[in-house]
Amino acid sequence: MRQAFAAIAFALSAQAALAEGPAQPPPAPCQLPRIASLDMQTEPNGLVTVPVTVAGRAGRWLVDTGNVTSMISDTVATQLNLSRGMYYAPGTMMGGVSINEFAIVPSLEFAGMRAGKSQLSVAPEFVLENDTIGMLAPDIMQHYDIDFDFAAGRLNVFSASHCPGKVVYWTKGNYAQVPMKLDSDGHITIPVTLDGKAMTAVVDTGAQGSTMSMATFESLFRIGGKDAALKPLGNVSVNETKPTAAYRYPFATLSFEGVQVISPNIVLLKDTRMGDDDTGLLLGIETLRQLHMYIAYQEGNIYLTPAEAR
Amino acid sequence: MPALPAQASAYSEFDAGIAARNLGLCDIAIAHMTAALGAPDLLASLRSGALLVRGDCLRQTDKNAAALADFDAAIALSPDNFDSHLWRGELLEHLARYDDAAADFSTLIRLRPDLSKGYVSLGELYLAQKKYDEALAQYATLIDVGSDDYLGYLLRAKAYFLKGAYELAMVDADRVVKMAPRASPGHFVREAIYEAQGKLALALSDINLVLEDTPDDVEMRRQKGIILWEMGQFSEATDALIPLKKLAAADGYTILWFDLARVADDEPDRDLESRSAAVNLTKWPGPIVALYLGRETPDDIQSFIAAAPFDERDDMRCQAAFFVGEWQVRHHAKPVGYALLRQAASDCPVDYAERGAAAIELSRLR
Repeated sequence: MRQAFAAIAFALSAQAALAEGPAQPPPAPCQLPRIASLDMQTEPNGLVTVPVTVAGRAGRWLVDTGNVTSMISDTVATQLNLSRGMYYAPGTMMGGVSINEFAIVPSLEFAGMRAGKSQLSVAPEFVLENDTIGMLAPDIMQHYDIDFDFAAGRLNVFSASHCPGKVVYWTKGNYAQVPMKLDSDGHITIPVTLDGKAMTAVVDTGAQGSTMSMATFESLFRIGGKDAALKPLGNVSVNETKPTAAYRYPFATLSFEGVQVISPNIVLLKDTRMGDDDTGLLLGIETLRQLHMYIAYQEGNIYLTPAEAR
Repeated sequence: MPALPAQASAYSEFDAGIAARNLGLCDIAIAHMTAALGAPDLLASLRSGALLVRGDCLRQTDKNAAALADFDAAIALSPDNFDSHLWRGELLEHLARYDDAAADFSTLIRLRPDLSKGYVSLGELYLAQKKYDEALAQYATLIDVGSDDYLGYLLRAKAYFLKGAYELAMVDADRVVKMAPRASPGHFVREAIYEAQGKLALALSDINLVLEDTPDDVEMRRQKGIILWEMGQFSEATDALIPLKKLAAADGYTILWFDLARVADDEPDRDLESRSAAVNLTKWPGPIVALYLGRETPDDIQSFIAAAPFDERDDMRCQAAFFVGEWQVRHHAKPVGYALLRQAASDCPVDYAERGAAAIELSRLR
């Protein structure tokens, strides 16, 4: 779920890297220093969660590369009696949901590491599924390499200190090394090719599906809204906001520097608030989970293979 | 150049199953998950998820026994999975296996005492069984556990209301309105309490407050028409219901109330046929609309109810008693009509508009 903050006035130290756990022996030259391998649970809607503990409260958190700041549920923040504040400039999640408040947690534990006092945004209850109590966002993740092994159900966390390019440990086969850009909010954009058209895409593991605005689609593909191949899907709603008209087009191939997703399911949305106001395409978990995705935030690359490549 | 494997593997079947369910294509999702579960290489950690997704799709397609078997298997693999207990509990409740459903909802509370879902589900289950005190206990815990969120107070107001404890219900409803002045749930419950107490002007005031914020709220606009009908302001009732011609063209209840208001206002409802064109006459309350159109008989309505799912029959009987009663009175079968209206006034739950409306109509007819 994308969240674009115009400004975050209250800048506490939450976004610092977590203090690491027990001292580890120095890795051998060019060996990937693995910090943790977490149980990554696939929820029935396809989104993935991992265990995180805040102020002693353990729970499952959505892994959301498309958010900005990590978030804690409103209810849990209240139960933990966390001190709160209001953002001077509220943020907006995908679908137009306002994020107005932040909370201060005394401690946060992720991947065997522990941070002290940290700031988290407060998530409205309806954006979280049943027993998910938070969202893990780039403010925490971007200090590490984050490896999504969907097929094995593991989220691996590696230290960012390693030899450049020496990261694809899971296969000796071919892989794609895709340069990525991080905007000021930590959103990842990468170059992709969709049916031969080059464009940029946002990588958003917090979005269930992949979306593109109708305006972008019509502009890039020169295909009008009345084309016979466009199939109306009715109105869809994101984050319980006002529904917007949605369409499907039979795309053939989505390519990442050679690694391909065949017949990608990309929903075209009439309302750009829900799609891609500043990029060509938003890649949600439905597309991403067909890949093994290693995000080297500090190095500035994403490494991709098919999900089951070994 | 690497590409996705051409031959479907256990993981790709699992992946395709999730995608199909998200698209609402349950038959396809069931096929993919069945293939995934049949593959020996499906990761153990994905197996319970595959069972859960397939079970949910089986439930959505009314294959309840198979769905229950999948939920049982998912829970055997992952005993502490929250969704598994929630979905199995909901299915068991639908199957009227209330004690088993209560056990699953209690497990939700044991697993996550800090979350509202278990208390809400268990409370609703008790309400469905008219176990008001047990429901009230769940909502009291929800208020203690929770936060300053109004949900616990809202549900407790509803439980008190259904129990007939109107004063206590009003205390909680007032609190909800104070906590969330722009949200309609508090006004909605308060309006229902006022209506049950016969304070129709106050009920109308709450409805108008909600409609100021959400003028297209179909349920509230229809309720406004009903209250005005109950107040004997038939012309105003018709005016309140007119916008729903566009907003809720397929809503049978709105069609029926519009007809009652217009006829009571001595205006023959000549365009009932065209206004009800979008109503599905085979789905409740469609058969009653068909009765008013002259296409069905009261006996047809009784037959429809007898063939309906067990847990829906009481509600249908209540509504049928009121609307068929009105129809009988209109067709000069007053003894039968009065008897049906008396039945609606006594048997309908207190939160059903037909209960108050029947009582008021009986007093008018006297």
